[in-house]
Amino acid sequence: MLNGAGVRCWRTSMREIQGMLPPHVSEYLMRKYSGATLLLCSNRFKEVFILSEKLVRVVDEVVKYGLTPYSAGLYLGRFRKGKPHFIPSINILQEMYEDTKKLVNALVVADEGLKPFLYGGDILRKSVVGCYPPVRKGDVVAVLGADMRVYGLGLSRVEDCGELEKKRDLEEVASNVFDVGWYVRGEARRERKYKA
Amino acid sequence: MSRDVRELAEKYGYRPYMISRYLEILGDVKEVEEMLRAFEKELKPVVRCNTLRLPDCRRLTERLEKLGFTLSSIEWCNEAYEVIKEPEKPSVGSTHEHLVGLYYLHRGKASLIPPIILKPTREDEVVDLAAAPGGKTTHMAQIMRNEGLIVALEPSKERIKILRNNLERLGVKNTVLLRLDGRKITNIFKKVFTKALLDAPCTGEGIIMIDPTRKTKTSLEDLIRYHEKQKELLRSALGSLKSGGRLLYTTCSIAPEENELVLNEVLKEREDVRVVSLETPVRLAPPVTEYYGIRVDDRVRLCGRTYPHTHGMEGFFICLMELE
Repeated sequence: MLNGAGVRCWRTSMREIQGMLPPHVSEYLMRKYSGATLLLCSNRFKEVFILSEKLVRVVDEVVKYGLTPYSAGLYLGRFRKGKPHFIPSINILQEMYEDTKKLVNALVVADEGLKPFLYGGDILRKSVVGCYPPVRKGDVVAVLGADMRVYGLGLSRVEDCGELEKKRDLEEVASNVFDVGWYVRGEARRERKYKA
Repeated sequence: MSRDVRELAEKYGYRPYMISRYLEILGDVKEVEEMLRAFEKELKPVVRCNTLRLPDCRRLTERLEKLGFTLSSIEWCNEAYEVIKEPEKPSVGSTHEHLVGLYYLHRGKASLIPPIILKPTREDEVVDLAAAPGGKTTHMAQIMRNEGLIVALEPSKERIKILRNNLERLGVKNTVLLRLDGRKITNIFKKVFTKALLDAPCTGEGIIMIDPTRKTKTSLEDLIRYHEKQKELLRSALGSLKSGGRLLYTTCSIAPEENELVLNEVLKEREDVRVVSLETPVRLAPPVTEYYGIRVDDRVRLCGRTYPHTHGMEGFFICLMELE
């Protein structure tokens, strides 16, 4: 259905979108949320949410009335036309790392590197204290602090963790895609490209 | 206008009509001045540990104390702490712990009270009719352990972004967020919810310590507009509740026009609503029962208030109702 603001939302399932997700995310979601109802909303970009049964009922009523939800349930992430095709949400990554107790597709960054990152800065080699494959150039990587919290997302500038090792201290290894500082400071132009 | 009123208005920088009303509410010039003095004092911010992200709040207090914050626990809210002292840097709003959603920052203690009184459970289906910026919505989600359902409404394009950010930051996932004026909720949902929270948009006459512009910002005409909107919201909130459902009405204002008089008018239309005696974590002051010759509905006597000079927090009005 379509609301007055031109947002279109429809129900979908994990099976239908799994092929569009990075393999490690898809694998986790198929294990934990295989039967869940998803809500896909499309405007300038497509956002996807995981709904509980109770939320499905409410969303159906809202849609019947001719509105679309601004957000609902657990925000899973956002699909894009260009590369990277999917930007996962901070919450789904945090949940995945906590549930699996395993880091993949991630950089762990020391406190000193985290500070500039949380103001929209990029990640330099010297602040990375851990690299967890797969990490590929142009792909999204999770950026975690030493406390194992997900502080944001970066766009990898290196082909793998081996290349990262070889970089010089002040070379950029991931550019800022989204960081949790955004929640309180509002968006910058570059971030708008990636985040609702 | 009495000389006392004129002098107090001038001394503290208020519109005189406001002081006249405070005198009518409190009945004593001395107490009015005590309250005005309390409004001049800075309010201590409150950190509410987000148990959705961090089951053990000691880990948060340890981290904040290591950064140089001095915290004092609030005895009636286990997971909340007053910030007694802040280091030069970082500010309590810019720590990594805040950004990553380990806590919500409240401007004062009083806003913790409504969710505690409404007590939503994991089985409840709750509507929050004026939800931004999300302090109470996220607190309710926390009490509900991210289960059940919250429908959070916010009509403003800008404020709904802030609300969504806060829900995401704190990891809330039991909520549907709608850009909708709370007055229209019954167009979609009639007699559906088990609980409703109406933290009604108001003049903010209880939070002058946070925003001193409110000493002069509100004209009598504005006050009447708020009063009318609050009545419409309250009617809507009641219409969205199913039989046996509970509604908590609250404002951060001490103006009877926005509180007791709103309830007085709406309750007169509804014989099927009873006001529930408040089980509050703090002892509340009684509501205003007579105001410029208006004697309010007896049911309103069970509502309560906080005042800055007697409670050491923002001025709030709180009333819990139940549908037959």
